[in-house]
Amino acid sequence: MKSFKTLITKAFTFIILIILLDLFAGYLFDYLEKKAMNNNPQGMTAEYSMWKVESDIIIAGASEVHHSLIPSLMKEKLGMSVYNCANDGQSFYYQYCMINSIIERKKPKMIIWSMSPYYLTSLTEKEKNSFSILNPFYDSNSYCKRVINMKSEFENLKMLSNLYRYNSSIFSLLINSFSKTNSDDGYLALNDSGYKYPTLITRVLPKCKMDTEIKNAFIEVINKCKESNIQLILIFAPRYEIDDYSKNDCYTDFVQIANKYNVPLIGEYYSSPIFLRDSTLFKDHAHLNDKGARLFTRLLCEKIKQISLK
Amino acid sequence: MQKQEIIEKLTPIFREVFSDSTLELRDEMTASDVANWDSLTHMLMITEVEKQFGIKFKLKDLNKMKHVGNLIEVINSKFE
Amino acid sequence: MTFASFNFLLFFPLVVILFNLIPQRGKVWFLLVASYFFYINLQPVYALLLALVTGSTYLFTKGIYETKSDIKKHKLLIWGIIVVILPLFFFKYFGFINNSIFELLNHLGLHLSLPKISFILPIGISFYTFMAIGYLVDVYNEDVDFEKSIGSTGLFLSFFPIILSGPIERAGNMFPQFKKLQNSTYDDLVSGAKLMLWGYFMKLCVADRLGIYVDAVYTNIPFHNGTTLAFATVLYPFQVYADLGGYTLIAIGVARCLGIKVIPNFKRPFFATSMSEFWRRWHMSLIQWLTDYIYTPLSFNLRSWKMWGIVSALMLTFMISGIWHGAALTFIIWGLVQGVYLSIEAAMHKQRTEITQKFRLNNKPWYIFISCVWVFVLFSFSQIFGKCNNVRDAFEVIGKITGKHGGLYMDKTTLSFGLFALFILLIKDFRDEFFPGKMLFFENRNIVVRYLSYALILILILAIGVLDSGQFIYFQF
Repeated sequence: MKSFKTLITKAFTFIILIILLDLFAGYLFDYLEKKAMNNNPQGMTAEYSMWKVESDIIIAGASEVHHSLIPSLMKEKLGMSVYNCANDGQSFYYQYCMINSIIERKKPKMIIWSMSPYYLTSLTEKEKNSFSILNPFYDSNSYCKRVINMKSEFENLKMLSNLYRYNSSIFSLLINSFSKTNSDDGYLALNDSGYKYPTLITRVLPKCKMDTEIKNAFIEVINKCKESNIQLILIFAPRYEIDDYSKNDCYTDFVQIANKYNVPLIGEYYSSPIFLRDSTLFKDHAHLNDKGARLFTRLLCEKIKQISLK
Repeated sequence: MQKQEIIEKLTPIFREVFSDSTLELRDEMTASDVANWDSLTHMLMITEVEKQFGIKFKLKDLNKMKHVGNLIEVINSKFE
Repeated sequence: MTFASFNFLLFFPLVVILFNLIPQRGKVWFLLVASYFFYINLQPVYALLLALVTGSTYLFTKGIYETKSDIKKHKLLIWGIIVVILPLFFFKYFGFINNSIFELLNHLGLHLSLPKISFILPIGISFYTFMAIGYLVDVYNEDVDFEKSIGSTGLFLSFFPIILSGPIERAGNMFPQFKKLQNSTYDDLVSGAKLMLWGYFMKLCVADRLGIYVDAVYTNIPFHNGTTLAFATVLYPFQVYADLGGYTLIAIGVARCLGIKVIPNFKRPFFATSMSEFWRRWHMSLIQWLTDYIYTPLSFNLRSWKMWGIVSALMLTFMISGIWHGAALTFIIWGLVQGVYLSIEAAMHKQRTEITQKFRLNNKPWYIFISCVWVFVLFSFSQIFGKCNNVRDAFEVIGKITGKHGGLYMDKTTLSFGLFALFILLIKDFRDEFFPGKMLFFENRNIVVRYLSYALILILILAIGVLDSGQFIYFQF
């Protein structure tokens, strides 16, 4: 092809253009991130947890505790500073990275970790995709780098691009740079006045198998907490469902691990009559609303006091 | 049948079915040249042609009629 | 690997480079190997099925071509179609029919326990089956010559850009091109790349982004009010257009890079002023196939019924279209609704034409606008059946839209990205429809404008495209 040379030159020019624009985008995103952290730090949930949190008590988990444990209330009852580091849609590995990073930066006195036995099962595509929230910490945090690289074989190549790294984050960066949100130390209230469609479902949870790698990572965190003298407490958050775990190996394995390593597990509020009898405490079948959060926070604090006294 | 005869008989049919009173037929004319000529009205036109000329088409004929010129040829062949 | 995977971005340039290094007589075989490699990467076992269907098609078309007897030709055609369609029928519809019969018997009080068989659908089967049937019919009608090379036949049915989601191609378009495969020209590569870029934009920035919102609503119908459901219903057609349209544009672009011209699949469907016109702009390759191989013979055989013949042919054709999309009652209803729309339009065609001609409405912008909106409303209504998993859900959605209103469910990130990208897409289509050739970006004569345009779209894909669908908020809500 006589225009072969032209093609190569043009393609090359275009690639250079893209690389330059990508570099420029990198500077722009870094600038916005700093601006957002200055303007509305608590709005940048992941960044705040990784870089700034220094509370005595850390809450880890996903949306089920992000919207149901109230730090200001807990501060009153337990007399310690509390931050709710939970993040919607995230599961085990996010919390693993976050907890490890916080411990290395400034050891908290207590970590309240909301989990479900399903956390320790093998990674799904959806879960892998959710790792992208850790992208800002790829270079600086080895835990995050390891987890992000689990996404796909070429992830380390893709992460070379700034635009790829900050994919989908421009909107929240802009919002956090130019406006402020009210945050009660990480707690986000679900304000609706009650669950609109209260059909109480009974779920028979299917068999599942624990993933060895994830299980080991979990035990690694448990041990780290022990070494650092951090009180780790596992909890199950309330759901508007009656769950039957009888066929569920993951559940028994999970409880076994907690027992073996002497980690307190406060699971009684999970399918508890205290919550099931009042659907107005819930936003939907998996999340408490603000009214329910107040009750749950109160009850949990009582239980925590009892554990601390031992 | 003479080609001119066929065209003279076809034109009012086309004008009626495709709602265009000024339509003038050409050999190379196809459905894309006429605003209201689509697969729906096509069949109405075919039925009308059969009625007016007293002929019956076969499915195989349909495939051969890519434009008006073909249509005229096929109509002609029915009279041989 | 699908188009939207990183692996494909490695596979594709490799194929193009090798294609250009291989001499002319090896190009078809190379593409055949590449296509099977692509297919085996997705579903190894079913590559065998594809090969069997190809082999059968080859033998039957050979038979039809060589037989002198008309009766034998016809028999071979019928048997050929049956053999080729059997796998599709089995994999796609067996389960549905099985369950339907089972439920029917249940209703009548007979409680039988039929074996529950479910298979994973072979990828592309709906597409290559239709292409094979089209080829069989074309050979029978002598519209197309029997293709002697089994390599070309194999390539026709397995061609990797189009096997996943179409466009549904024709023997008459593909085989002549296979005979004259050349090295890619500069124009081929650039045009192909542009098509691919725009296709990726449509798919990743518009379709997948809007899809996050639409899915969040439609998988939780009980929790959402009519306002939210209405909004999601309005977004859904745009999502499908950007999804299938984008995907097939990538396919067309990939083929173009190899110097192969594939038929288009969409032509700015939201600027149609009637449902009939809509169906000439939406999923064009499927509609063309249905028109040529089902509607035309059907309406021809029923032509003595005049308007009723057309109506029956339309209803049946669109029912088949519905069934082609999936084995569910909702798809059948979807098809019937399309049939009803088109039948009403066909019946009122004369009156409508009279009125529009009398008042010269076709030139008036407000008339065009209202027509487009009306067509959109009709189509998005029918799409409720296309989206819902069962009829009960569909009626629940419709009921809520007409009754229970409330606050709109907000997902600011998803909507801002999705609507922004959709806006860009619609502006481009608007320009192409009403001001073609003006305000060019990808086709601008100035190289700086062109390069910046490509760069901007690529940046948008990287910045706001759904590269890993990791942007969900808690999905139960």
